[in-house]
Amino acid sequence: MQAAAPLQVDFESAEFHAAFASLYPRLVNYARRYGAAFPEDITQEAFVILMQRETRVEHPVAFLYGTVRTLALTERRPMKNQNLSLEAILLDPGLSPEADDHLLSREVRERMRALSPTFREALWLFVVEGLSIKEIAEIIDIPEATVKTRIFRAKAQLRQQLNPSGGVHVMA
Amino acid sequence: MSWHDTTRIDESLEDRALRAELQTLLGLRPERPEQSCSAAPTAESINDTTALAQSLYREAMRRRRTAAKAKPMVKRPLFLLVAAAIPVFFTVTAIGAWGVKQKRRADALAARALELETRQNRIDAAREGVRNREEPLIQAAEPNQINSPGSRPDRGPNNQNNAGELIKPEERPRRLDNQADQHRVNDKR
Repeated sequence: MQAAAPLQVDFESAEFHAAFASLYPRLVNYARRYGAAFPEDITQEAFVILMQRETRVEHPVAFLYGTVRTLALTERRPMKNQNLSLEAILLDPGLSPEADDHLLSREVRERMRALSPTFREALWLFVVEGLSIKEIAEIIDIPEATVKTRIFRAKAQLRQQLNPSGGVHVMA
Repeated sequence: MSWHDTTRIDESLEDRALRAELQTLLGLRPERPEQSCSAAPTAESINDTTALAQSLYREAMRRRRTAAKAKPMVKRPLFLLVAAAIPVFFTVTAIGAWGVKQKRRADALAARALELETRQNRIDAAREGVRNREEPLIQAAEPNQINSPGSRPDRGPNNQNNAGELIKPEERPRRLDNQADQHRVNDKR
């Protein structure tokens, strides 16, 4: 039987500081993937917004990711005057070349870039960030079934990359 | 709300298998990348992140206090509305008082006019009564005047020009029989 979750998090506890040390670089990296000019500021603002809330947040990690995503997209909003589509900005490796360098190898980055931006975002959050389907749905603000569909289509595209002829791929 | 991710703990085996399969396809190791790729935190970095977290917490508390102080300001429009309504209230009250005064004045004038009209009607009725009482007396007196010797036929009660008038008998000059001392001016004798 699971105990009821507390209403408020003690943001001065050692548990929160450990989570902060783990989440902060990931969120900075996530903001940088959206081409944010000031990813550290955006991440810190997301934490301040979370701490400022007086109501209970069900999934704080998903809340932080969603806030960072929204702030990063808001920061880039003036770019629409330059006839750049949001989809092109999203996860564009050219805009954030150093975003995932320290996490992924060159081969993995190439495979990720070959995917469509929509599928890439869901795949990144699911595989690299380790978030659950429910959290990803909350971050992107789409149904869980849509998240699963995008992940499965990303998987199909990855399989297509590894074996373009359609034969059985042997990993070993 | 807890930092232990219950949704990931309760994640289905199917989702975990899917994640492991995708990690294999991407060439990632099965363990969490932030655990595998990030270097072991030093004491200095831990102190830095802790100080950053504490400063962010102080900023959040400052914003929360500012927001709490700003809440009573929400009542400001109500006070402004009341302050703006005071002149309107006095204006409406003054106009209403003036209107009530004018209505009372109009009612008083109407009552005065009604009273004057009633008085006039009463006077007219009294005059009519007097006339009705005197009419038979006048009609009774007129035949005597008509039949008198000195009366003229055109001054009788049948004469409409003299209807209702009392006619005093006129004494005519006596006719002299001796006319010796009278002579015509044009007499040629």
